[in-house]
Amino acid sequence: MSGGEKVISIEPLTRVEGEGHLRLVMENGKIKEVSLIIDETPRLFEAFLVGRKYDEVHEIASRICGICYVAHQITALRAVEKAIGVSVTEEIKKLRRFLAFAGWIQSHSLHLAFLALPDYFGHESVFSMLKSPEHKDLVTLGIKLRTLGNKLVEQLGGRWAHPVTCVVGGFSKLPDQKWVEKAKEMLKEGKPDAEKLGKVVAKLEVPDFTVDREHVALWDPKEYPINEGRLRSNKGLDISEDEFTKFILESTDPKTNVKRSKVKGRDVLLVGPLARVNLNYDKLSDDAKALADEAGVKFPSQNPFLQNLARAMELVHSFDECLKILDELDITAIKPKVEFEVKPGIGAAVTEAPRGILYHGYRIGRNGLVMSANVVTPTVHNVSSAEADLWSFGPHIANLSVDEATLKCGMLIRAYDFCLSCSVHVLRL
Amino acid sequence: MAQVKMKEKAKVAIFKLSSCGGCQLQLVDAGEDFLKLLDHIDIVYFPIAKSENLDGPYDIVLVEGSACSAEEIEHLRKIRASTKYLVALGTCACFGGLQSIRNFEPTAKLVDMVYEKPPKSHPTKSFGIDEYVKVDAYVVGCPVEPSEVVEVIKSLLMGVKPRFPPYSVCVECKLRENECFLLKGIPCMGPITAGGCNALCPSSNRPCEGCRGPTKDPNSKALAKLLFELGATNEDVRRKFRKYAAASMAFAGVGV
Amino acid sequence: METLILRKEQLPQFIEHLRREYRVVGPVKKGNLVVFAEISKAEDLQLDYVTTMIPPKKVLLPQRETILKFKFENETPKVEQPAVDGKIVLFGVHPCDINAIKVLDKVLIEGEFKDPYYAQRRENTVIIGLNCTKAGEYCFCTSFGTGPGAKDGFDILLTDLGDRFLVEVGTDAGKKIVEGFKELSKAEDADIAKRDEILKKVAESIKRRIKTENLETLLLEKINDKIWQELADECLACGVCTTVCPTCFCYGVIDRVSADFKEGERIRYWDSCMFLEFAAVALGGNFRPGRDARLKHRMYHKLVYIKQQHGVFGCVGCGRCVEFCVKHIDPVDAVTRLSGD
Repeated sequence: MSGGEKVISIEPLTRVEGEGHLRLVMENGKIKEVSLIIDETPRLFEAFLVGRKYDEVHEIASRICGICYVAHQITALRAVEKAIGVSVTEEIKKLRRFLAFAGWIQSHSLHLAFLALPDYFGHESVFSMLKSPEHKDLVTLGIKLRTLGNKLVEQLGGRWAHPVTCVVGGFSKLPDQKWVEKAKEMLKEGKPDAEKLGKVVAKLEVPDFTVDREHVALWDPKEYPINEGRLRSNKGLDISEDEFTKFILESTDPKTNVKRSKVKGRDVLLVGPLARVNLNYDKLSDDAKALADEAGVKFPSQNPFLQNLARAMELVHSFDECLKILDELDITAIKPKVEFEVKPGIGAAVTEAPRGILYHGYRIGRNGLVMSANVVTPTVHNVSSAEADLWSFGPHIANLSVDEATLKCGMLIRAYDFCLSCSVHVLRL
Repeated sequence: MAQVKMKEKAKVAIFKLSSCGGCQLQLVDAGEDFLKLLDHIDIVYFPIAKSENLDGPYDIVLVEGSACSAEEIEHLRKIRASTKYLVALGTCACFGGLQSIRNFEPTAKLVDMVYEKPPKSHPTKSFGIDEYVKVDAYVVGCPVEPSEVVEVIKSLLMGVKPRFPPYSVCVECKLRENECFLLKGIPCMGPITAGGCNALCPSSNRPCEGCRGPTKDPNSKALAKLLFELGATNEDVRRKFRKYAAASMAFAGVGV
Repeated sequence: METLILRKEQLPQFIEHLRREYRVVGPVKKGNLVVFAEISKAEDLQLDYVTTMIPPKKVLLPQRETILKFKFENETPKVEQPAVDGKIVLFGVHPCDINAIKVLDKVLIEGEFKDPYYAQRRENTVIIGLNCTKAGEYCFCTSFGTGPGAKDGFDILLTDLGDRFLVEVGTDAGKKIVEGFKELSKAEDADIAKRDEILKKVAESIKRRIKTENLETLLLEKINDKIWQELADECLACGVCTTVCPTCFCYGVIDRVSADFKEGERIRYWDSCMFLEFAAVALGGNFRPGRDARLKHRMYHKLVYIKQQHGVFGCVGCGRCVEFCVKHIDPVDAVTRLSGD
């Protein structure tokens, strides 16, 4: 099987968000070519954001992605608020933290149950799983969790997809105490489901495949980071979000519509659940950590397939975080929005979107209009990382049939949970 | 068992052009109704959710996004040729979406703002897909309402024209008994924006931004005049109209 | 009919008395607006209101209503009528809205075709009116004799006399309610005089006026006047005017089938003659494609056509269509201009 040329082609890439394709060529067991191509047409958000008003930036940026809109909104809001000189209250920060974790529940459950799992159970999709008496329940479980995430975002955000209540300075409208009680109940009811799905993921058999990658994530001394923190890596990076563009460098690959990124002076980087779990393991809830034990995995880990396990751990952790926030919250005492005046300035923010670090940077002029905009999405980094992984994936697929090898490559790519719609939105630095 | 008369399971395909991917997920997120529909449709092409995706012919195709490159326009034409019904799914497919904001600047200049070296696909202006192909049904919204996507599929399965109440956002806003932003002097696109969202934004204490595109017979000029009276500048008015549906006939010419 | 006195401190007990048999819907505060909503206690009421945005019509002719349900079980679909809500008291309805309900009764019950859904709700509804003690900026009820005091159309009518309400009984249903509440005392002649004095003052404060003599002739003569195009240039065709109108009764009907195609319902919803599709017919025809034609039709329907068909004006001068129109397009102003005054 290992002799001759073997071409692995996945076109289009399936069960990932957006349009792209993979071509991998092996000859005599050695990889000769890897091209992971993004076929999304650039929508040029960073260009048409210029000239828009400060208060609609997050609303527009939300539409960069139909899965991680919450992350785009919060990142844009934080960057714009920094630019125009607005500080929001601790309470508003907490509510945004809640919303961000609810966004993770939405996104992680969608990815795990709908996009990642079918491969592991020999199905081409959840539709085929639904027809299987053995695996139908897993889909139902996924739907339950996704719906729960949707509802949590909807109740606070007004709508689950592209929420509407987030505004510069806070929220346009807040729910009442009844919501707090209801949300707590929903979270308590839903958590066992998250753990159930987590256990399924923990039991998945994954290839013993390790690479040496720089893992970059936000880091905070006290909390599991999501909306703010310092950027750290396993190779010594330790910078503030304002220094992001100095240390994370990009260039356009003319073959694709996506930019490739590197850490300054070093190589490509991996972001997202695995990077976060590796760098912030100690801040995960006990129930989230229990999944690592269940899987018999020790973190930090350099196996990109374990991104799914890390995602499952974060799914459980998100329930605990949301519950903790609600327990500490007195919603009746919160002023939805702070008063402010708009000053011109520059602001940058990095948050942890479901897929990893998300950067937004804006310059706002005297008239409150955007003068320049810059968005760097997590998939930008991860596409390069996945491509690098594939270059060293040879030994794992050399002895497989083309079909089997294709499936394995697909599984590796899917473990990254790409968001290709996002990835083409990058401004040159 | 008697029920609404229907033909065999319809072949449904979901394609994505330039868009965020959010509208196609709204179908999946329709929950119970989506699962029930699966007894009557076979989703045969849906790359975000499936690995085995079949070529046409299809009975119903939902197209999300606008066609904004030569490749996408070509793709769209092929899609049209392969299906009985073509549905424009979401404001991008119906009116060009947010990326139509850029229609008023030379695209090359914008590409240059974003990319150091030219990217693989060269974006063109963004229009609703009916600029290039015949569309049989429209589902507006950024994002679309899950119930409306389900409704359109049901209607097409039954062979009837999909129908929605012809409201403006204002009507739904009145029915929810919200205070009027415009009467308080705050610009709002509600009067000429198609309803169906149940006035979500005004009910969340935010003016309507027009994400569902124009009503059937919008008087854009009169709203623009009112916005001027409220103190808006020409730039402000232009920004309001050139947003989600900047490519629509009704909005494109306002505030030039 | 009898006139009585309800002292203000007795209002909570009176509401309790009503709630024993009825759901009570009255004016309550919502932000800076007053809306009709179900109340549980007298303190919820906001009786010094001028006009609500959505008229109490919403209780009798709901904005969206399932008029039948169907199920496919055997060869023929099984059709089922949904139950109509129980008994309701509409509390604190101003005279313009009382008169608007009279218009709806004329069209939907007393006309050639009886609307069974409206008729059933109407039968289950008791109207406790409230005379106006102040007028709003847009009121012009005096033009049509539909305010500020009500003459009929109510079961009970209240007038705020400061520390007490004058209670007038209009129907047997009203009488039964009043008789069940023993705490009321007899009204004196002075109370009735005070009511008249208040109403006279309010009437005098209303300056906006449509001259109703020869209105039909005037409007039919001016049907091609340039004013209609002028107004249409301003009109956003948003449909707010008909949505807030207390006499608009036009509706659309739509069938909705469940996603498993096993059952469904027929829904009717408020439609609006201001929308392009309102007069659209099969094969692409449309009787009123122009905004001017639609706007004119709305005003003519209120001021001419309903009168021709049912003998009453379709406008009660509540002023809502002017107040809530972002352009304040105003029938009073239009008629004034047409009459050359």
